[in-house]
Amino acid sequence: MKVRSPGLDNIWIRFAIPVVIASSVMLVFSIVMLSHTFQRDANDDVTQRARLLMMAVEASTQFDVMSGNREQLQRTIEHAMREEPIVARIQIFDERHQIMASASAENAEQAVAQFSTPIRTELSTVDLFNSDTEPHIGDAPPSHASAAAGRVIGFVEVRVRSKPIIAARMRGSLYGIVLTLLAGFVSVAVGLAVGVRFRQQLRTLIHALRQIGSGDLSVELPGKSPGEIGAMERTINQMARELDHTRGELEARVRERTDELQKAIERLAASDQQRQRLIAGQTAMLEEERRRISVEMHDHINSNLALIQLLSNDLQEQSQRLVDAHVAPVEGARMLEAATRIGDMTQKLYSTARGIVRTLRPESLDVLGLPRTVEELIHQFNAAGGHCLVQFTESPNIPPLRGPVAVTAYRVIQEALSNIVKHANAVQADVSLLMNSEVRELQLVVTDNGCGFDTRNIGAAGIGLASMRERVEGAGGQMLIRSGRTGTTIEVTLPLSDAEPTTNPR
Amino acid sequence: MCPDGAQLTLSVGPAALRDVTLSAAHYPTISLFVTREEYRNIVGTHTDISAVYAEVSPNVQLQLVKQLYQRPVRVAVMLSEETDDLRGLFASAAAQAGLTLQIIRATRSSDPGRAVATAGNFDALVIIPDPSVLSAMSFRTILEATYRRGEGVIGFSAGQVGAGTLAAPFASLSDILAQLDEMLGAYRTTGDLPAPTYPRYWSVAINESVAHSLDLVVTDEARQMASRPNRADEAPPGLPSHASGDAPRSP
Repeated sequence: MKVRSPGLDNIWIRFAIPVVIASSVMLVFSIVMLSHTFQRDANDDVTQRARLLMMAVEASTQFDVMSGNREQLQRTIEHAMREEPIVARIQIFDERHQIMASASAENAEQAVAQFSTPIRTELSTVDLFNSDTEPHIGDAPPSHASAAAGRVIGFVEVRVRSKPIIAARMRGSLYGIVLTLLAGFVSVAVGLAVGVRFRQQLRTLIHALRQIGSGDLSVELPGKSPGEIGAMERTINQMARELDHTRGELEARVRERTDELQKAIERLAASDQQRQRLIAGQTAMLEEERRRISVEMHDHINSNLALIQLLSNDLQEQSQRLVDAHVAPVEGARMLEAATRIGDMTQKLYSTARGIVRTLRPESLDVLGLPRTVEELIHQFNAAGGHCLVQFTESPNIPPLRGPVAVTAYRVIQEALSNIVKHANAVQADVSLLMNSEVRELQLVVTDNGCGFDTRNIGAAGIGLASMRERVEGAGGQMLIRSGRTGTTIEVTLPLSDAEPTTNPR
Repeated sequence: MCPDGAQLTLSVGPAALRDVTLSAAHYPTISLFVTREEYRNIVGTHTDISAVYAEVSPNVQLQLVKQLYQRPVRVAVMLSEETDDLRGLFASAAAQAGLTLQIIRATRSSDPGRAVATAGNFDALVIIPDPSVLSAMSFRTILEATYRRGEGVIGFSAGQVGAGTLAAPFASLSDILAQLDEMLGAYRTTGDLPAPTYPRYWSVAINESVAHSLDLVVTDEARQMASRPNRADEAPPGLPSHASGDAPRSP
């Protein structure tokens, strides 16, 4: 979900802020520019109007100056001042710079410029009908060719101010600015209204898309809006329908594949259970055969070897008496030697047979149960003089298991210790037997501090680990192997059935 | 262009009029655009030469003074030896207009400006074409002198108004031609040339600035003073037509 800044979600605010900022900047800039332009244009305007006024006054006062009509001069310049608000003061001087007339406006001190021009007599070349050749025409226009050479008879001095012009222009411009701003605000309002409507349409579209995204394909937009929005609505409707159709097909296909996969899993599980049962059966048969062989060897071979050993001992005693009695010293010595050799060989065979019996099935497992058998195994392991010291711990609630689970656990520990000796190069190992009475599970953990191995290559590590896993899975348990540079840990969990014997089967 | 096929000569300007007088072939002639003074100097004793003078009559000038001032004023006229014969004409015109006439004597060698400045008080000065007195320089000094004394100058051409005179009645080109058309009509009818005369049709030009300077309030009647050819749908404004009909015959 997209996180939005609080307070800026309102489209009016988001649109109005940049618009107001832009308008304010534009307004300030416009006012500054207008003020500068007004000042410059006003000065130009004042200059032009002042010169024009001065020329008009000069032309209209020429005869008054010449005739010395001060009252008329005063009326003329006062009239000029009334007609031209920019004038601060007009003064008419005679040719000796004596004031003939003067008129000042209020705030005449605000004058910003002063202009002055001489008043000259206008000397036109007038047809006085003096020519004795050219026709004398009464309405012939006068010639002003020599007007510039008129004599200076006075001066006009005009002082002007620019404030009235600036004020007038500012008023006009302010009206323009206000109208422009009004037009701008109206445009912005219209734009915002359009934006709001557009945003509502977009919200509808986004909501519809989110519905589609969340899996609700029952979206149905009106599709009657004009322009691109309407086209987008219709496109979304079409997309939703196609997605719904496609999803239906996919779901049907998934259901089909799921059913197939479920059946395959069930078949595989059945096969796996069957395989486990087969392995378990084979393992049980193997263990049973081992037990039978070991019993046979223990009951028949070992007992006969013991009997041979007794006979050999008796023969040695009799041979020794013959030698000692010097009855048949030579024969007695030979008999003693043979009897001794028979006794030694019998002893070796007995030891070998006992080792085979122990390997096939430790008889202590049936006599002492699993914990003590494991303890004896570890004792033998440490007594063998290897450089790895193995420690054994057990939880106190472990019963003296003697059934298939005990055999499996024993074989796993036996194989694990064998791997430690052969591959781990460890100096310390721990074997733990734990009992979870609530779920009736036996947990055994074998840990070493050896070099470890790559668990991804378990398949290539030989048949030892594979046979361990097969034994465990055959017993319905699980085996977990963790290994790294600091050693290896094997955790095995074996369920205990109610039928698991805890007493000697014999 | 004559009823019996005889020739009639129109002369325009002093040079043409002089050529007519010097020509061996002599036809009845009407002189146009020549002042009364110049006409008299050129024609001399020649007969059968009529004229429409270039300037309006003294009577019109004084009527204009009366209309401008709207009161009985003292009007001066500057006459030289060459124009002294107009004294009577001015006197009768002044009497007719109810004005007091003052004659200022000017000579070829005197300063007209000074003559004006030293003259007694008057309200308006009427000037007439007189090459012996009126020149560009004397015209300016006359104007300046009258300005300083608060006196208006009544000229005889529109150009003089633009140059600073208070007002001037004048006959335009079309006015002269209109009168010529009437004279030719009469000549066709009677076969007799009319006597030389001042223009019958004229109008006035007024310098408003000068009028203001002289504290004169120019009325619309003054501005509209004129004499126009009679038409069926138009009554001639201004003076009655007989105002210009008192032109003296040439000697």
